[in-house]
Amino acid sequence: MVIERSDGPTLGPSVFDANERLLAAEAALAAERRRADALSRIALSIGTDGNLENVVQAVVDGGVELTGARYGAFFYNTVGEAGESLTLYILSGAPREAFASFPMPRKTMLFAPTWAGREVVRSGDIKADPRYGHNLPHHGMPKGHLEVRSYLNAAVVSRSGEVLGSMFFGHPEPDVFDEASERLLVGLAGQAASAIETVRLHRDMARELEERRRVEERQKLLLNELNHRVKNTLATVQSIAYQTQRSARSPAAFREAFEARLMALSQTHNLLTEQGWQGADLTEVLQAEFEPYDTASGRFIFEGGPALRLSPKAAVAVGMAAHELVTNAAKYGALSNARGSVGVRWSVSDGSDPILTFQWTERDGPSVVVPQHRGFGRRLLEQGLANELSGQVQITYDPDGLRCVMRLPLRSLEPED
Amino acid sequence: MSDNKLSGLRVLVVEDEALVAMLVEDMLTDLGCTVVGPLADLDEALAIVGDAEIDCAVLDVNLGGKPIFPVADALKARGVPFAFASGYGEAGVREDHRSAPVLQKPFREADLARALDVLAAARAV
Repeated sequence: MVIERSDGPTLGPSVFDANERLLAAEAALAAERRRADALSRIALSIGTDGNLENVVQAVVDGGVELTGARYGAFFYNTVGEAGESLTLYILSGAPREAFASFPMPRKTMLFAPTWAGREVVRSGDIKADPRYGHNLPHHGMPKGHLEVRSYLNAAVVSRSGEVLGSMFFGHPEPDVFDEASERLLVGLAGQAASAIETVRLHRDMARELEERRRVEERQKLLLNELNHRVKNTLATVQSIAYQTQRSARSPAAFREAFEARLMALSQTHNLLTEQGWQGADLTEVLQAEFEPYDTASGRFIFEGGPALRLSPKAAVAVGMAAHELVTNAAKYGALSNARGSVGVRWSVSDGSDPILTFQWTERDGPSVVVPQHRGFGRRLLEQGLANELSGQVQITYDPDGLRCVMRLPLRSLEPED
Repeated sequence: MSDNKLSGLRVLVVEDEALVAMLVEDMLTDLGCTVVGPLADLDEALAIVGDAEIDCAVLDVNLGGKPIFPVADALKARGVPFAFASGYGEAGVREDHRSAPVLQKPFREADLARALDVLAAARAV
């Protein structure tokens, strides 16, 4: 440019040079200010924004501005079934649709340094680059890809050496990026890495806090449930004490009967504890109660029946009922002499509302005497159990031996789900 | 042990654990009350609360995993006072029924008598 003054001499070359230098210096200063602005925007975003997407967007936008690129992209390193690959995460300077139909970059020769996490790849003209276009199916960029000739790429690597992703910058003109852009990109990649790590750290911390809160919540719930169970059990024991005291003829008799009932309850609790209080098997509940009364001597004809799982509540009730039947047999019934026996069997009916029919049959015991008063055992069976389990319990004082038939719907016996 | 004020009071008992139901029944009988039930099933209880001849009720909060509150609602609508019996204590009672007496299991006969006094007084009003 030549600057002339109409009324004076043409300005000399020194003035012209100075002017040009001034303009160049101003342009450099403006560029420097833009860089500084971009860098401070990136730093601000990293420092204040907890949203990973916003932070990475700021880094990539800043990168485009700083390097003079037309496009910028950040790809996440994801490990899938097909091994490591890059997933487009943030794009700058082009709509996301521009990439939508393309497969994500693979571990090709060109992209390999990204996975190694070391090198910056800069190419003045990527289409003429010897590292480019070796891989099927596209031999380079797929058809319809954004026009890229100037190419700049750096891995984003965490402090621990993990490859978090890769940043790419491109321009349709060749030779846009220089060494300064390369240095800038290295700095940006470092910022991106620390931003990603910071956000991840925050996210992990938040997750850990949430997990701890959940555990505490669950503990509180379990403790509450345990308290409820203990209080109910205490009420049950209170009832056993009350009922036993009513019928006991002496303190010694009270103690014996009370302890036996407590042990019966404890047996069922043991079985339930083994199964995390989810339920118990009917056969096991019965056998635990019968065992102290010599099941091995053959006086128990334990025919059993189909396997059946009882809810904790039903297990406690059935265990207690079995205890009352067997102690009664041992005291007054078929197990109180030398030759009596007890048959135990059950069946389950078909249909939409199946019913368990449980039969307790005593034989060859001493002659049966119909009791004058309804004792605890009989009341528990006929009224308590029948009521609690929505069924019927019938005790018959047959001359051949006591018989007890329980008809209980499975819906009130089995655990829920 | 019999309390004159409670004598002849007709008390509905809803309690799903056989042994506890028997205990409450015995305590009430000792206090001179007439027991209606005990019932262990929510639907059964709901079926009778509408027209059963009762002065008040003692309700277990949790019936085999089902909350008793529909029964409490029906009683409230009929103006029949009730007390809750619960292993959870007051914490297990729904907000809008917090004015009802709560018997924390296990409880003594005297505790039950006190709760019934409150219910009998509420009925008299």
